[in-house]
Amino acid sequence: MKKELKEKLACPICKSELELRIDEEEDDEVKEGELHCPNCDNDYPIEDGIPNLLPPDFES
Amino acid sequence: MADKKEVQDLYDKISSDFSERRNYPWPEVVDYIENSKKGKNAIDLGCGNGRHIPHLSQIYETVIGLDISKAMLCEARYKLEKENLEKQEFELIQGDITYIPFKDEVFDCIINIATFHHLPTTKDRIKALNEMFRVLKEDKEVLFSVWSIEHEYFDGNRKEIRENDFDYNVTWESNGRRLERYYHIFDEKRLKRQLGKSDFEIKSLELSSGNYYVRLHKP
Repeated sequence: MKKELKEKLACPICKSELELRIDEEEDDEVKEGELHCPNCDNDYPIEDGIPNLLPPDFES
Repeated sequence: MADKKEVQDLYDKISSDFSERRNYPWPEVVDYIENSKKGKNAIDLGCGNGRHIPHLSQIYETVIGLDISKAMLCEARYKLEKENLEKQEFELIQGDITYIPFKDEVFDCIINIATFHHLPTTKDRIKALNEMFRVLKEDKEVLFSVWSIEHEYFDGNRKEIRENDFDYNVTWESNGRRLERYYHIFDEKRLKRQLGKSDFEIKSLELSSGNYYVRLHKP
């Protein structure tokens, strides 16, 4: 995902603004990292450039 | 009764095979997009292999494809890069249409094609409609499609579908495997009743090639 996409994204649960943490980037693209919701304290991983914004309890 | 996790697992399993068979964009969808006014942001909710994304990119500055299945999103990226669509022109996100991970009123256009019928409960269907309403700008539209009970695929088993509260498993056969895909099938009355529970106005509702196409307007 591109860094600027963060401005449009919101936490899937509480719709708060997300914080972006970058582990690996290429040009303007975030390859690895995470999106963090300061309100719910949930982390949403970005792997291989694709953010996973499924609700955290989706697996259960 | 299926759940969303089962739908995700199924699409993860069949992604490459599905992508080969559903390679072509649907003409009703292309026609709708091509007749839209230029705008800023569009999202394809349940984008699958991204077959409608290049068309949206002709009209909208930023196009987002959202899908529940990571394997389908990888298919989408592979296919779009093969078609030489520049990376700047699309973004792919793994997400759930009952929990759309966007701020309010971001989108000028939403398409939700052949996805809604995979939601297994009335509660999920209402949540998805409310979420679409929330992220859409005022005076904009969703193009929505679901499988109709009138589809020729259901010739001979409409009675069974009605008796089973319109829940139906469709078998996907590939490489000798038989996998079940959950659908909630709609007739016109049930679809109108379902959509009537949202704040959208129904601008048009048409039956074409066994699918209902609905234009949902946010006043």
